Amino acid sequence: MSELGFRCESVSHAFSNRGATTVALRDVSFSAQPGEFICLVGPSGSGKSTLLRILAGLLQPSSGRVIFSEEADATRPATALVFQEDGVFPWMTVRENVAFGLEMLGVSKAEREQRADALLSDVGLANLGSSYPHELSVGMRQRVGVARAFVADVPLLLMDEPFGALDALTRRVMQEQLLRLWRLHRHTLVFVTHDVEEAIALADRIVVFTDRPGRVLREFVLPAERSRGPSTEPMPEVQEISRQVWSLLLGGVEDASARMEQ
Amino acid sequence: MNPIQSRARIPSRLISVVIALAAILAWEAMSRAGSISPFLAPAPSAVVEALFALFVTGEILPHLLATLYRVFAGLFIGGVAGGVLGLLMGAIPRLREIADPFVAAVHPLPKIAILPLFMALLGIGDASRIAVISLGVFFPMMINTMSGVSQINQTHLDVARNYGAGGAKLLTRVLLPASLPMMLSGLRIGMNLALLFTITTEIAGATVGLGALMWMSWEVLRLENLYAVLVVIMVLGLTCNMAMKFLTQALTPWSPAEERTSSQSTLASQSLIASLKDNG
Repeated sequence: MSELGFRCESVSHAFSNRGATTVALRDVSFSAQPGEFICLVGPSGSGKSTLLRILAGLLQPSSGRVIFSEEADATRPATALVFQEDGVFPWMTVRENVAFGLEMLGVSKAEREQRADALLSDVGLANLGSSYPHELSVGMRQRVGVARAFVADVPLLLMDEPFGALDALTRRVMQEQLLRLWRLHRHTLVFVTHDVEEAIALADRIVVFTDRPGRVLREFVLPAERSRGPSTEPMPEVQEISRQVWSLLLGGVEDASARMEQ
Repeated sequence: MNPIQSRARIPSRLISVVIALAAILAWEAMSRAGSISPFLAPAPSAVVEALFALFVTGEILPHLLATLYRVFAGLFIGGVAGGVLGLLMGAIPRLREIADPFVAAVHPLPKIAILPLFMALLGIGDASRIAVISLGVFFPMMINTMSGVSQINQTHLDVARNYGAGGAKLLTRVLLPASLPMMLSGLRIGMNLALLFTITTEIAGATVGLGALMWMSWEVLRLENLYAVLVVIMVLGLTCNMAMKFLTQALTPWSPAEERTSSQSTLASQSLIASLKDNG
């Protein structure tokens, strides 16, 4: 079990806070093929993080549903979340953090440490297993979060702007590393970002969201056999997609400012 | 700690020591010159002599042991009760809402004012004293633990639940370690209050204990003994705070060093503020 497809069917979600209701998602429908790298792109406040929480099973949608391709066994499929920051537990060593998912699954200490160390050397943190997160840079902590997501070998990885707080250089290195890990493990990956270039560099498919309430504006499928990565000059076909994503997002921003002026 | 800080730190410590030595020397000189009454303010040399005698004759030993017993009994009872209740109140918002008015009503009471009531209920022995001391420890421990648990980072909870943590695993791997720094700071405040309440309750009618020894020295006008006991209490307080610092470092090696040093340097002022607050 290393990949898992799913289909969102008219997923809507509304929060109520002190009587006021905020619609975060409205009628969101899209699907993911097993092993696909999907980027959700949209302005902040378009409910992308809410959708990730629904996919992770931390939230129940107000209406609509998510159907997983392997839901026959009745249990919810395992997912692994990576957040922009704060996802790493400060009270655990780097090794314990990475092994956390395995620990919860009841894997023996020896095996989970061995698997955690293997993943740590994959992300270039081989010597830092016994360190505590406060001794690491923000970028290194984020790598711990990514390694933790991959180590448990869950079929669906969910990442909420994981590289949003990183400087441009670290971000590129992390994108390369993520692509390498994804090619190695071929998990289905849902990656939230507001950075179009990042989405273009990584994804098989880009789902563009609108401003609140979040709706799916359009989906773009990128050519699978292209060479990906942050350092690759996109081919003309991909550049065209990038232009269209930008104009959709900018159109949405113009709509919003037009609404405000009225 | 960066080198600039440590270079600036040495002179201020040195200045503190010099001031203390100068004050003691001036006191000694004035006492010998007869400009202050050696009876009300015995010379430092006389105090040291009395201190020495208290230990050599073993006179102080039962008093010291009685005080330590009360401090740790109160710390244990109040700490455990406050920790458990704080955990529950932090984890269950409804329980917190229900308990909040009771905490708000009882917490501001000067705990020492409850001693007569406890003496009526529990007798004039150690039980009533330990009850007051425990109550003093209980509140900071409960309030700190509660806020430690209720202020836990939502992202950490989401990650933990996403990886399937629940029940005992969630408690021992996430909730407890996440609130441990706050619990330890509650325990530190509680410890200083325990010392304070122990000495105070011992003054009120105890026959044994450092507070009682101090009071008896006053009654028989052996003021050099009174000063000597004050020195013992001071050293006891310093030792307890250093032990607490060591415990905190041993139990929470993950918390960033700068946070720890800042909490250390304000340790004395914090415990002072806490004791002032608690005595209304």
